[in-house]
Amino acid sequence: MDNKTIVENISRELNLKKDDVRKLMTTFCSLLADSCINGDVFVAPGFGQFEPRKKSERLATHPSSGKRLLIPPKLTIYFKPSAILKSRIQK
Amino acid sequence: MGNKLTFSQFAQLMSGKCNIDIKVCEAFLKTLFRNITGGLDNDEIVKIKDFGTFKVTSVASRKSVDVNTGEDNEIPAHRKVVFVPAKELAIAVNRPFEMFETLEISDDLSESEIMEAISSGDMEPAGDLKGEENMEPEKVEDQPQQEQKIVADATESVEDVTQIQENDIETESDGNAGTETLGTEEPLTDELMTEDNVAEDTLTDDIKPVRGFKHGFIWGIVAAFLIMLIGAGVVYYLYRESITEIVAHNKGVKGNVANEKIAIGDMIDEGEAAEDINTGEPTIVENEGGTSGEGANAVPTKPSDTAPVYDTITDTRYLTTMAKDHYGNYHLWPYIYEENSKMLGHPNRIKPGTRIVIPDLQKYGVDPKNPADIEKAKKMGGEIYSRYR
Repeated sequence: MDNKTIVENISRELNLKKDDVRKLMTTFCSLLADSCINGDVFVAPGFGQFEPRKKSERLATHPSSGKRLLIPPKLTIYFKPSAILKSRIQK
Repeated sequence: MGNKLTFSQFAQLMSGKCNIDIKVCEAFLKTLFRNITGGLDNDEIVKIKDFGTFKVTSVASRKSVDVNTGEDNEIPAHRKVVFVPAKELAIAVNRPFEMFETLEISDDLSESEIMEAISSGDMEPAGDLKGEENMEPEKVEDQPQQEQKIVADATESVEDVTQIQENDIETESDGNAGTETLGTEEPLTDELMTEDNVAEDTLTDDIKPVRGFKHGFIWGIVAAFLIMLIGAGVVYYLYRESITEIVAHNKGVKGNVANEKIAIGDMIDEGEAAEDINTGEPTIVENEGGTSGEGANAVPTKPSDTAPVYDTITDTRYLTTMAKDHYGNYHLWPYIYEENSKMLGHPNRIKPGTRIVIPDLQKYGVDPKNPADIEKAKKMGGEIYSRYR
C-alpha cells in the first residue's frame, strides 16, 4: 500500500479533503519527531509504540575504500510492535 | 521526558499546531493506524511519505539456549514487522546530534587508543560547552582595571625603595673603590638571588589561577601581586643599569659589569616572562657570565625565542588532534595544555577559536617515539583532569 492509497482511504472514511489529510500527516510526522527529541514515547493502542533510541558512536571500516571511520552517535526512532499486531501478522 | 503520549494527548498537540478540531485529529490517528494494519494484512508493505515504511518480513527458525535452564531450544520461524523511518523523519529525530560528522581515522592508531580519546570527552556535544564558558569571560574583564590601579600604586612605592637602595650601593662602592671588585659583586648577586626567588614565586603563583579560576576575587589578588612583582622587577632593572654603569666607571672593571648586566637583563626577562614555566635556571646564566668574561654574549637562547607555532581550537580540532598532527601522538596533548594552561580551563571545555601555542617538545625533553614519555604524558593528562574534580 502506498502513500496515495492511504491518503485516499483516510479522506474517504473521515470525509476530509485530501489536502487536509496531507496537512495532518505532515503535522503528525513533525510532532512525532519532536516527541522523540523530548524523550517521549508515542503509543498507538493495538498497533505499537514509537520510541527514541540512542545509537552510540562506533568504529567501522568503509566497505570499498577500506578506510577506518568513526561513526558519530545518533538518535533514531524505533518502532516496537504491540502483541496484537505481532499475532495478527503471523497468519 | 519518558512520558507516554496517547492518541488523545497527541491529538491535542496536533490540533494546537494545525488548527483542526481535536476530534478530527484523533479520528485521523485511529484511521491512519487502522489503515496501516490493514495494508500490512493485504500487501505486507505500507509506505507513507515523510513517515516511513512498515514491512512484514519472515524470520527463519533458529536454535537458541534457554537462559535459565541452559537447554537447547528452537525458535520457530515467524514473521515480524519492521519499520524503517523515512529520511525526513530520521533527520528530524537526529536534530540534537546533527553536528557530529563521520571522522576518518588514520591507520597507525589502535582501537583502544581511539576509544580512550572518545571517553576522555572529546566527543562531547558542543551544547555542553556553552553553559560554563559564557560565565567566565565577564570575570576576566573586571580584573585588569583593579590590577592597573594596584600596580600604579605599587610601582610608586617600589621606586622609592629602589632609590634608597641606590644610595646605599653608591656609598658602598665609594668605600671599596679600587680595592676589590668582589665587594660590589656581593650585593648584586644577593639581589639577583632575591629576584631569583621572586621569579620562582611567580612561577608557583602562576599555576594557581588556573585552579582557582572561579574564585574571581582570590584570583584577582594573586594576579595583582604577580603584576606588582613584575613591575618591581622592571623598575629595579632600569635603576640597576645606571648603578652598574656608575660603579663600572669608578673602578674601570667594565668586563665584569658587562657580564652582570647581561645576567640581570636575563633575570628581568625571566621575571617578565614569568608565565613561561620551564625556562632555564637563571643561576646557570649568571655562572657562565662570571667564568668567561667575553663569552658572556653567548648567553643561551631560551626555547621560547624560537619561532612559536600557533594553532586554533575548533569544533573538530582539539588538543589531542593537535598533538597528533604536531607530535604524531594523541597522548602528548598535556604538553600543549601546560604551555597554555594560563588561559585554558578544563581541557574539555576550551572555547572554539582559542589560539594556542604549540611548544617544541625538546623544551620538555620529550621524545614522541619513547613509550616511557608517552606513559608520562598520560599521567600528566590524568593530573590535569584531577585539577577540575
